[in-house]
Amino acid sequence: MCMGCSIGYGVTAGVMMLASSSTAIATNNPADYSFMRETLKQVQLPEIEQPEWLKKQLAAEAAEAAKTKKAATTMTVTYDVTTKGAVYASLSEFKLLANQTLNDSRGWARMNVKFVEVASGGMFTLVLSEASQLSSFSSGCSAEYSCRAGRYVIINQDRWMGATPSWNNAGGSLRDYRHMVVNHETGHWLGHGHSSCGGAGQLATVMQQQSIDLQGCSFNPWPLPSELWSTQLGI
Amino acid sequence: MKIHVSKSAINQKRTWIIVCAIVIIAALIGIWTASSLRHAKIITEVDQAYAEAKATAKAVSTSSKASRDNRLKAINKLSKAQTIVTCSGEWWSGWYDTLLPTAKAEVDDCIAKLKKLNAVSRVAARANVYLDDDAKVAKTLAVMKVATGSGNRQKTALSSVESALRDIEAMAVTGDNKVLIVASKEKLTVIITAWNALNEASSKEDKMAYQKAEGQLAQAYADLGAISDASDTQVKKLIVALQVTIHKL
Repeated sequence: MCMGCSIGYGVTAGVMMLASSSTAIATNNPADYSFMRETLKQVQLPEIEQPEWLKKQLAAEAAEAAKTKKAATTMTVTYDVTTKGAVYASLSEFKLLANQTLNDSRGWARMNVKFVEVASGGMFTLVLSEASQLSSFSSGCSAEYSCRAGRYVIINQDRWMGATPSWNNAGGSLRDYRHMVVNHETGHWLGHGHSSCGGAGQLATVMQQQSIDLQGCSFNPWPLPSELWSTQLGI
Repeated sequence: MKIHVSKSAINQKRTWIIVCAIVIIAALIGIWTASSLRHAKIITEVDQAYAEAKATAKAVSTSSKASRDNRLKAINKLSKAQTIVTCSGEWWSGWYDTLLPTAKAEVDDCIAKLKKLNAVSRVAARANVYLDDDAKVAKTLAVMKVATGSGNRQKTALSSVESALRDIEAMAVTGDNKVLIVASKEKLTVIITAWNALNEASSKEDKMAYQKAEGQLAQAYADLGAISDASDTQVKKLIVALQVTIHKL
């Protein structure tokens, strides 16, 4: 074989190939030569499907968090105070005790509700009323007891001053009665109806008509945990 | 004693001598002519080839519009240019190059040009080999693309990474591709470890470990960019070397 020939023709062949192609060494950008970067751009972590156990755990935690958040949010309820008829009881004492009752840590305030007395235009009106004036609020109200009629939470002055015979006979204190009656009537405004004694010896619910009959339950001026809800406030 | 030589015998000898001389002279003229033509052919071809290479290289180094495929083809073609060791002719014509000073100068010039062409070819071959490996690794890693809508994505993702790692481990390691291979193996191993940690946490219903593994997994996939970085560094190094060699043409 002719070595010289292969040398000469080899060079020609190689360079002719080079000359005939539309080469471009102008750029030294690696992406102009390598597929690596664009390939790896398409390699992504696939969406990971959460396992059932984790979904359940997270849902439980979310519910707990929502509950905590809800509980942590304090709602303000405003009310104004007025009187009806001939009122001889101390209005300032009435206002003070009513406010203490409403915001007591044993009362409706446990729903994270803060009751704030305002001069007028409250969400409800707390009325200290002469007994004979009760029926003027609603035909369902009587001179014997306290009542709630629409936005009015009406405390019967006679009951405020002397509770009820059954209460007194059972040994209940006037202060507890006052707590109870404010909580009970405000409970109606919050959306509660009447309830019955859950069983002899148990604490009465605050929405039980304790002024009339304890039904075997013991006195309780404060709402039970099961009563801590309000359709009025959406709680 | 007298020796008698006939005239015809003397004439016969003279004739033979003349014939031989003519034959020798004719042979020398033939060899000279053939060698001259051979020399001219080689020199002309190399000159043309060199000029064309230079022109092409010049065009190449000023064009940036070619496609990636064309660039790769060009490098591949450059890498296949034959290696030239001499511009001297064959045994029967080599004497011509040494006898004439002009011919010798032309051969020296030819050798210088061939050296440059060979250098381009050699560097292109090295770049070509690396780019082949780079493309193979890229193709291997491409199997890790998992369609979002595909069923059992997690299992598919893990098995695809394991498969890619096996293929890369099977590749021959060279001086040029070593950094790329090492980076690829390292990053894929980290991904596999994170997938395994996720699966283990899931089987144990360990939320903390599961979420930690999720984070590690996301980071591991993000870190695949290190493979691109390794590739970029090596490609750039080899291409710059090729450009420098071409520039010397």
